[in-house]
Amino acid sequence: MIATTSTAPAIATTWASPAGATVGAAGRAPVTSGAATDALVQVRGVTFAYPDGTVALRSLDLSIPRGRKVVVLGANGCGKSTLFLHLGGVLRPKAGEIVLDGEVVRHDRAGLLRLRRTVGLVFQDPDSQLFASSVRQDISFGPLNLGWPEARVRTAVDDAIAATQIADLADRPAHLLSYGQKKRVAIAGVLAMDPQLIVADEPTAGLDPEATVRLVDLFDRLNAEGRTIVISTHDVELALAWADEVIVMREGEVIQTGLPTDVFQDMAVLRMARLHRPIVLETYAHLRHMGLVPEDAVPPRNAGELADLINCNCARIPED
Amino acid sequence: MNPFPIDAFAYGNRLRRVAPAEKILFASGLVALAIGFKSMVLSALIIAVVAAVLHVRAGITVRDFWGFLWLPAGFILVGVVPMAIEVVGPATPGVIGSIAVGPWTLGVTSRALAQASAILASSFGSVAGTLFLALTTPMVDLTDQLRRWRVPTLLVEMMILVYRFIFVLLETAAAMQVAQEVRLGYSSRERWLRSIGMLASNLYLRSQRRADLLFTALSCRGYTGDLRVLVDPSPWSPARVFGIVALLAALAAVGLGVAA
Repeated sequence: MIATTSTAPAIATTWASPAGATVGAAGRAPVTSGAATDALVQVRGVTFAYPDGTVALRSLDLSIPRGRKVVVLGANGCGKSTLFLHLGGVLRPKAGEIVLDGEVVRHDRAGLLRLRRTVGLVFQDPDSQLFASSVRQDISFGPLNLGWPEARVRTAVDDAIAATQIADLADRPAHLLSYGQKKRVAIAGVLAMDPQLIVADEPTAGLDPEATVRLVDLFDRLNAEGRTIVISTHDVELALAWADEVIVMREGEVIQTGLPTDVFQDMAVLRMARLHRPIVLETYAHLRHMGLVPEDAVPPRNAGELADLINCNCARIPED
Repeated sequence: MNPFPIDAFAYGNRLRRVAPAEKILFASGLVALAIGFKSMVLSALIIAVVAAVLHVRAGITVRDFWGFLWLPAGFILVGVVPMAIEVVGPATPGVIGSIAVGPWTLGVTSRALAQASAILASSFGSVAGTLFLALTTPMVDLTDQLRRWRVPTLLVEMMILVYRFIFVLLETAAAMQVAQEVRLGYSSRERWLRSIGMLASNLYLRSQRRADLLFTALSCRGYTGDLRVLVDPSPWSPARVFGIVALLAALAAVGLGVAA
């Protein structure tokens, strides 16, 4: 009953994106066409199967626009991590190609180096990424591999430590860090290589609310510097509030791409991807159904926007 | 909070910032003296010196040091006691005491006793010297110093990875053991044996997987076969090095005096 109220695609045309005017038409069109003009990364028809026969990606197409915050959603086993491993150049497509900055990625030494200069991959389990006996040394590993002179490496390490706010941990070994601290160190290790694109696999999984807020804040700051951020998560509230664009995956395919407020009102897609509608939009749908917010209202992205919407509308009630 | 007390002291003691080369010099000097002289008196002195230096300079109490010193006591005694005891006959010279066990007579001769006490002395003396290094110097400083000394990279990288994965493995094993425990995996002798076997084989598989994951993650950061990291220079103090050499020389003199 409630589901039917929000599936109409017509709503989408009226509202402005909080991310600014640039989102406009490009963000609105189905990005799966791969025709977006300023795509940092394009995945074109990538198919991948693991040695045991599991097909993880089925002719997958997607495009990551430069400078945006992208959230990849989908049930466990839908191929998110496999996709990320392709973006990091760890796995090689069985078919299809990955295009970076308009140039097809070759999986030879030079091609991978180019990819890894541009794309920083943060693994879900920070323990799989940390190896050195001190945080500072671990962070210095990536920049040294880029062949930078030592002075530049030192600056990069210091900057990454400052950006991730881990100065007090710099001399510690990994086993004396908490889980949240390890996550930040893992991000710093990637950030020190100055990547244009940071890809993080479920970065907020297992973090307490406070650490989650801090991490999202960090991603916002990195994005404000002009970096493109791609994360996967199961947290639909976070995706709605934070993403410029969400990509929904199911069984190795992208089934929907678009603005979070559009995608999260597409009940058919949510059902297919085994996702649920964020509570903010659920409430919004109820309120609209009850006639408590105007039909043409911009869908809220967080509790604050929802409250504003109710507040504005209540202010109008005495007039009626 | 830290379940690894030696590591906690290594990171938190007041000699942490002293150049690792100086600490390595002091510790290896002590170990060389203990092994060289094999003297009870000298080893006792070495233990006393280490205890004093740790207490006064590093802020590690004598009590803490004493606790660590006895950690390897079991191993040392297992090695030393059989050395002192041997099968003796009526013709064996210098038998101090003996006991008949079935057809054999087990006894302690003065020669064997001297040998055992020499091993005991050099063992405890070297343990004290090694503990000084372990309690004051974190692994990262040691491996850095080895890199500065141009020790083959392979060896240093192995040390780094072994060190890192000791803790990863311990944490994994502890978690698995608790998971078995709460499902009554250790409630009887047979189950204990079964559980510990499953734990060991699982741990092996997980280590393999961990190694694969690490390789993947490092590859993403440009790994091509060298675990290069930033190593800061570590200036040493000539005055302290002089002090260390003087102290070692004084101990050597005591050793020579006892031997004479």
